[in-house]
Amino acid sequence: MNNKEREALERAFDIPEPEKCNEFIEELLKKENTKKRRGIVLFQRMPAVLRYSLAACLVIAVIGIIGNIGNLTDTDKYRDKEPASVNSETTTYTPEEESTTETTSAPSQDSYITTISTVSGGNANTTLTTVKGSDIKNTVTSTAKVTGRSVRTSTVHGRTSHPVRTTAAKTTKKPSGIVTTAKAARTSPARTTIVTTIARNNVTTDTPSIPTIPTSPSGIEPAGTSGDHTVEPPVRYDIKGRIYTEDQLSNNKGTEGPPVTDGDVPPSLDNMIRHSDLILLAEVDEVIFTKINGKLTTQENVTIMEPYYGDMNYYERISVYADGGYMPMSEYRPDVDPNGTYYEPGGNTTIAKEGDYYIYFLVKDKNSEAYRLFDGTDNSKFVYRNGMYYCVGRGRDSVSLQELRDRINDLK
Amino acid sequence: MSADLQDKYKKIYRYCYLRVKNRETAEDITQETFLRFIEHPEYKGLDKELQLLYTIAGNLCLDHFRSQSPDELPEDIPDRNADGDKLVDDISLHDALNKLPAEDRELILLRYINNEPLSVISAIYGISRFALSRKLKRILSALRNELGKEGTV
Repeated sequence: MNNKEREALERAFDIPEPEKCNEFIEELLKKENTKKRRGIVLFQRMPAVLRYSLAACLVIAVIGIIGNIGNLTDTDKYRDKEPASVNSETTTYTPEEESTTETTSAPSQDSYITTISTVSGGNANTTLTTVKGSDIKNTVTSTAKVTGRSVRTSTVHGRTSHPVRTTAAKTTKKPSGIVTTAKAARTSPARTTIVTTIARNNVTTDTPSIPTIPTSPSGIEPAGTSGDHTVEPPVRYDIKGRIYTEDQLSNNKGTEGPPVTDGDVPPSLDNMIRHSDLILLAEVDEVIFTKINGKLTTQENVTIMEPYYGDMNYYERISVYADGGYMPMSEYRPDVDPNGTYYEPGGNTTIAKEGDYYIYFLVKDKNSEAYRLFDGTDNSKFVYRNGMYYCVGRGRDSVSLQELRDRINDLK
Repeated sequence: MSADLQDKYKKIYRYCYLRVKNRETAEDITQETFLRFIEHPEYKGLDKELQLLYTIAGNLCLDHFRSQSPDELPEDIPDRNADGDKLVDDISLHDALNKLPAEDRELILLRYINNEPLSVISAIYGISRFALSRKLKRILSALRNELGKEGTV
């Protein structure tokens, strides 16, 4: 779309200009500045006793950090511990005469190491800081002589983590066998940023947005209600190689592809409440891509956190089928790319992740013990955001847990 | 910073206006959006979290509709005939836009008037970028069909 067309659209929308924009922004900026200053003012307004106590705590913390530096010399103690996951970010600044490498590593989910290596003249300085949670555990600075282009400055091991060997232009991690290298161009000014994220054993450090999950209306977890009603899928497909969609494959053939179904009228919330067999809040335990009765299906095995309607109880597990999913290209179109994966959205455009929480509107599957999304699509799933549950398919429709309970009481 | 803020203010204002169809109400909601935004726990700075701004604005618009009595009509419904210089094309496009579902109009505004990236819009509506891209194509195609001439939009 070109500028002319954009202007035509803008005129067609016919939105008048706001009148109070500038005045409001001035006020807002003042308000924001006041907010920023509030922290300092708060400290100044503290009673003297509290202020001195806080200062004393800070001094103690600093002494503690300095006192622990000596423990960092025990280099072999932690050599054999494997990290569950390693997230590493390396930034290299290389002006003509000196170079700096800053490395941040996360050997475990709640700790990380920051290493800053500076090469200036013939010396290389390395500063290592280990942080666990919000506490700084160790800080150490070491110096080594530069020998050659790639300069190994020091080997430093933290108490709470795993061996991290840092050089001015090279970062090597053991024993995970992962090597991150930042090659510095010494002859010209350059800035290189290398971001490497390596997850071992499928452990991820992403923290999902977790709502406050109700346990039961009485607040007491019911005992003896756990039951596993999940079903074994007939086949499990993995995602590998390049992802293909029908659009891409259709373009290869020179046709326009299948009709888009986004314009279908989605079911209303009341309609889903009236006709669902099960309405519940559940946590996703497992996502499986499979094929049910010849149709690509995404099977979500979920644990019920709170049942709102239906004959299921707290903490029982069920399988939920959603239309669409992934399958190997070797089965679908081996002529295009036998190593790729085919993706069919099927109205279920947002693939759930383990640990996600959703409100599900479900109907019983006719051929198995599993359940299906009310209309097979994301319209029957609500995700938690900013205190409300939003329809995944439509985004705009939202409902709170209390509103949902009230609607169910009214309609069921 | 101020220019950037002004830009954000106008974007949120347009988004609100499209929903409430009243300049003053849209401006009130926009200002309330910014005030709530800087008090929000996820707030990190005025230069971030555009998506959060849209979410707050959307919720405030919904609150506005809930608080309105059903027979209350917007006061300043834009009168397109008042502007005699307006091109016929614009009027046709205006009509074509009005025939679109509200959500489709919003998507067009966010993408082509506010120039928001697909990632921001898809996050607001909780759909994938791929689905959003297809949806936008479909909406543009519907607009073209409505106008009856290829290439106007």
